Amino acid sequence: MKQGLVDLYVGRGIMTEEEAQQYWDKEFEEAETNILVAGEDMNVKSAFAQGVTGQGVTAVVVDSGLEIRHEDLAPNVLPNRSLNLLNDALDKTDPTSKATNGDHGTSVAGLIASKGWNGLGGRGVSPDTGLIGMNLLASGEKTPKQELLVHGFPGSGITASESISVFNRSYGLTYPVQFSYSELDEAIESYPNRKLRSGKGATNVKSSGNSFVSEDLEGSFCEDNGANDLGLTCYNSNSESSQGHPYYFSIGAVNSNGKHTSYSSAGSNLLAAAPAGEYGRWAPAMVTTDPMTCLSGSSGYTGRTIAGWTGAYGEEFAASQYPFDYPGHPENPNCNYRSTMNGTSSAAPNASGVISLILSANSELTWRDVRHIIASTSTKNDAENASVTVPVGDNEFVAHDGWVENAAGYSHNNLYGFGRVDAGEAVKMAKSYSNDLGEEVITNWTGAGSVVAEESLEMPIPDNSLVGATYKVIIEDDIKVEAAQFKLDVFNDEFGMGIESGEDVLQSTAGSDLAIEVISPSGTRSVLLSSRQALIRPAYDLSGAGFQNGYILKNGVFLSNSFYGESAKGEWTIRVLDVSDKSFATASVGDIVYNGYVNNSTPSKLMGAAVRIFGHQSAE
Amino acid sequence: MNKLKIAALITGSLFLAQAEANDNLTPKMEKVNKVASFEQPDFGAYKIMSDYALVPAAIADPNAVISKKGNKALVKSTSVSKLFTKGSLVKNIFNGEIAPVSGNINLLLKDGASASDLASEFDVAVENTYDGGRIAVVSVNSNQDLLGKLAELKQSGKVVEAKIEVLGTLYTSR
Repeated sequence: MKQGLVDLYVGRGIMTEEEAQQYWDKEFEEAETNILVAGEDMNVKSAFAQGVTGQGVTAVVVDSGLEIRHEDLAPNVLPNRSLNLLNDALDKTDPTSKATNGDHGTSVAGLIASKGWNGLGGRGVSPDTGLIGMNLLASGEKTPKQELLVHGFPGSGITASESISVFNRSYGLTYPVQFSYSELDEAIESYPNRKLRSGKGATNVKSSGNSFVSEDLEGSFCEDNGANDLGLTCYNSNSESSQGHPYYFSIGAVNSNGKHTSYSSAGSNLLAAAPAGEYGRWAPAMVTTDPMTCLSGSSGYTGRTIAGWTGAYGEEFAASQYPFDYPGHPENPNCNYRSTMNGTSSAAPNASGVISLILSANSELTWRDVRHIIASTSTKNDAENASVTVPVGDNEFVAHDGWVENAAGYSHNNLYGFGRVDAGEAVKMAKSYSNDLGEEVITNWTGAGSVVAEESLEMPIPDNSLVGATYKVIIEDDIKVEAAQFKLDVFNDEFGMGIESGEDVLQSTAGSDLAIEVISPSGTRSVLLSSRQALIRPAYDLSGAGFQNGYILKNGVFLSNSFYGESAKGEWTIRVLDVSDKSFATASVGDIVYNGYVNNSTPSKLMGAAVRIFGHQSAE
Repeated sequence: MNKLKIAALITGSLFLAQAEANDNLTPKMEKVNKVASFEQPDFGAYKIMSDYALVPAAIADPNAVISKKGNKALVKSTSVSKLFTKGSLVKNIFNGEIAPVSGNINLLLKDGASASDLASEFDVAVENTYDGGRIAVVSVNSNQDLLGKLAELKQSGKVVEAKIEVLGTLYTSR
């Protein structure tokens, strides 16, 4: 591949061969020496060695489609159980995508459960697990109740006693706002956990997002405000309502050297991480299934990338960059596989595969037991991951903590959750599992102000100051924490849809200056919002009237897994800060089109804050 | 322009083309400066498209077709009625997709509230109830305004949250 780049540069007269070789050697140096590290994996072989290959459970792939006749998926696809949700589909049991340039769902499915040991293609993480596909992401007019069907409600064909291990959800809604929390969505999205698998619950696995370094909607915003250079996530993985509750397991992406990928969105809601890789060029990506033949799919003449690069740089160059995906590779003669799948879209199904192995190893486990096993057995990858500080006046704010060990002995990192899933250790724990989490306890929202229908707190958040607005919540019950939610309203009347300034449209920095930290009764700190994140439009309510002008957060809910296993009893401290007074111009306006950002001239205000704890009664 | 600058531009273009992890690696055209447009939704993520209709492509006047969507064609509506009800079109303000509404409203009911009581009180039909009755799907008939019914249900004091169902695609792979 490197030679292809050298040839391109020489061919276009940009450099001499010697210069080009030197240039690309340097560009590749980091990847060639540091990216592929033996042992930085999910330890799947150890699970297989324990005799667990995913039998007896079924994974539901909610995605763009699923090629049910694919040679390496068909043996695991449950006949006539998939759903095509498009209204005009003639065969409702076949969600095979009509797209010729690739099918995301088929590639996702292969990572979970492409058939093993059959002499074809690769092997999924859980190669004997059954597969059902539902094409929620397919373009076109859909059937009514699609949102319910993809959560296993009656009518989906999924019975309440069926051994569904996981609903994989490698999708999301990415927009530079904090979406308001939806209780209706929580009720629907938690249905698999609460109602399926005879009450023991199925799991939902969700990709955390690919916007650690983003440059689409908000243009160069996260470059201009320093987030990219500092190593802070541009989008918070907590920004969607569905990422703010424990019923969806949010999964981040790691590389083949065990470190953070260039794109994986971070946040306190992450439960774990899984390999996904980069782009299959400088650094490895995932090898997985692809729609069959070279006439459709990502691998083949019509693949989105192949066709795009062929058009831009020529056939030879495209073939040199994607040798496995380009038609004619001897190990991929029919283009039924691809080597370029990546994103948290890949991390989620890898984790779904591990969860399928866990529930295959022990069918008596509840969805909370699965969560407990992941928290207990995941690998603390990138162990030296450093903290990140941002200047605030003459002081500093720790915007990213790296690994934080809590009072119960669990280590959490906003980049990786409890770490990279370890199939071998997870299956081992599943097989000998004796922990009794007891009945789930969920507290009411405890707090004050607008988030609990009381008079707004109106607490000023001083600009560029570590003082912040601090609200303390007392939890009386001795509950062992499995997850903690924090609901906040933050207002600044300068934070509307933009400020016209001559020919330019500017926006207030009130959203991106915001930082939130929580300290548990045991003293553990969790950063919910690091500052410099893409909160550049008012909070958005998908159940109501859309943008909530003036509100940076309106019913904004953040999940934190950092307190797992600690006692909830005592004082919780929520501190909301404004940690910058900088104004700046944008080099690239993006689709949202703000030419610059001006520091808020008035302090933002904390209008309400509340805590809700998910857990179980402490045995002590 | 010197060689390194050109190299940086091409390299930048290569990296840019890789910058999405959702496999959309097609090289992009350079972006031009745009005028900000702030489309406000009528509800949720959607703008009502009362001037438009989806009709079978086979019977649509080719000169009136704005765009095609499968076997349907988007055309300017000739109907005088602007009633927003089952089958009316909406546009997703995030992804631009145009889709019809089903006529259903998904409800999360407060403790003690019943879907059938609500249906009687507000003249809607119960399509389904789930989860011990706390989640309900109700529908309006073709003479009823969907936004009006949504507001009535929200104001009933018996509903935690209500959402109009759109037969489109809100999410994208990532």
